[in-house]
Amino acid sequence: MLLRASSNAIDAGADLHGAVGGATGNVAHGGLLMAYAEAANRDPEAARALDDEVIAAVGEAGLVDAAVTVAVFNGLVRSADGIGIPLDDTMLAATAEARAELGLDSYAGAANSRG
Amino acid sequence: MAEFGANTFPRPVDPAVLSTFEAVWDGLAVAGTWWTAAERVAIVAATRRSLRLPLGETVPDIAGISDAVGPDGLSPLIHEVVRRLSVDAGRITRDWATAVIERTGVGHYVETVALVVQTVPVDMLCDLLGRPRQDLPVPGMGEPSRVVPDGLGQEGAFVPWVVDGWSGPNVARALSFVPEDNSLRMGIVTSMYSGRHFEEMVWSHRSLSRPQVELVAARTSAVNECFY
Repeated sequence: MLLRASSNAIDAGADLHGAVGGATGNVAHGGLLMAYAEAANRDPEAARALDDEVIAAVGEAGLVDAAVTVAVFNGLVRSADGIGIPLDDTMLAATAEARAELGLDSYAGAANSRG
Repeated sequence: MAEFGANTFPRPVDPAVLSTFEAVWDGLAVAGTWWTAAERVAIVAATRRSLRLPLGETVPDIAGISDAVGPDGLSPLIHEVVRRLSVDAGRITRDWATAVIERTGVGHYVETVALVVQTVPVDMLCDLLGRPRQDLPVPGMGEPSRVVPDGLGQEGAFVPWVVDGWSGPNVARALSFVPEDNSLRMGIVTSMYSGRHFEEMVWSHRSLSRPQVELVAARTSAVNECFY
């Protein structure tokens, strides 16, 4: 939800393209975390093949953090799509450029959430 | 009984997260606002059985699906709603949701969403950490309260939600038509995402940095083609 803002806060230099499978910028271990997130979403059990690599990079607690994040956002996306939650006004305005650049406006749910 | 005890997970999980899992499981076993406990447990069982349609198969037309109650207490219509929410939520449209709600009523629809979105994170974390999924609770007795909260209004979502005095993000009031379940859901969200630190851009309460968490979150949303 706040990748750019949180990255700017610590000069991490995140690249928003990481959200759609592109470069992740300077987020530490961003490429591996993105690969884990993608695998975890497509086949949670198969994603465990990446566990050792993720632990080597960010520790066991980091692996659990990543898993927890994937899990909770799988609830959040279903809440948003099931209820048709309109994007909050401030977020709608703040993300216009990024949404266009990343192609998010073409998602089916955009028709529900742009308000 | 601690069903989600820390020692049941192969890796260390924040006790605050496990506590919300316990609360969700306890909530499944009692009558909700619109569904009985047996129906609530049946909805979660249906969530677990939901499968994507085979490639090329047409999405069923809601109009042609029966709402006659089956042996598990749920109709084929509710089973399709659960399936769509569980494995095909990215293709939910306002027209589809409106058609469903016209037949189920707002309360049954929102509570169904609530049950799916509370239990998917629990099951998914178990799957990711290699822990067997928790057995579903034995449903208790009792009737749903069927109470519609005061202060609701229509503000752009598919369903009414709290409007009187509201100043938070839309996601936090999404299921406020069923306040008890919305509270349980927000317990899950808060414990698994930001804790009390949502407004802070630098996190130290989690092992990953906030940009790392947000990257995983953003990729998860994109894989699910969720615009919000």
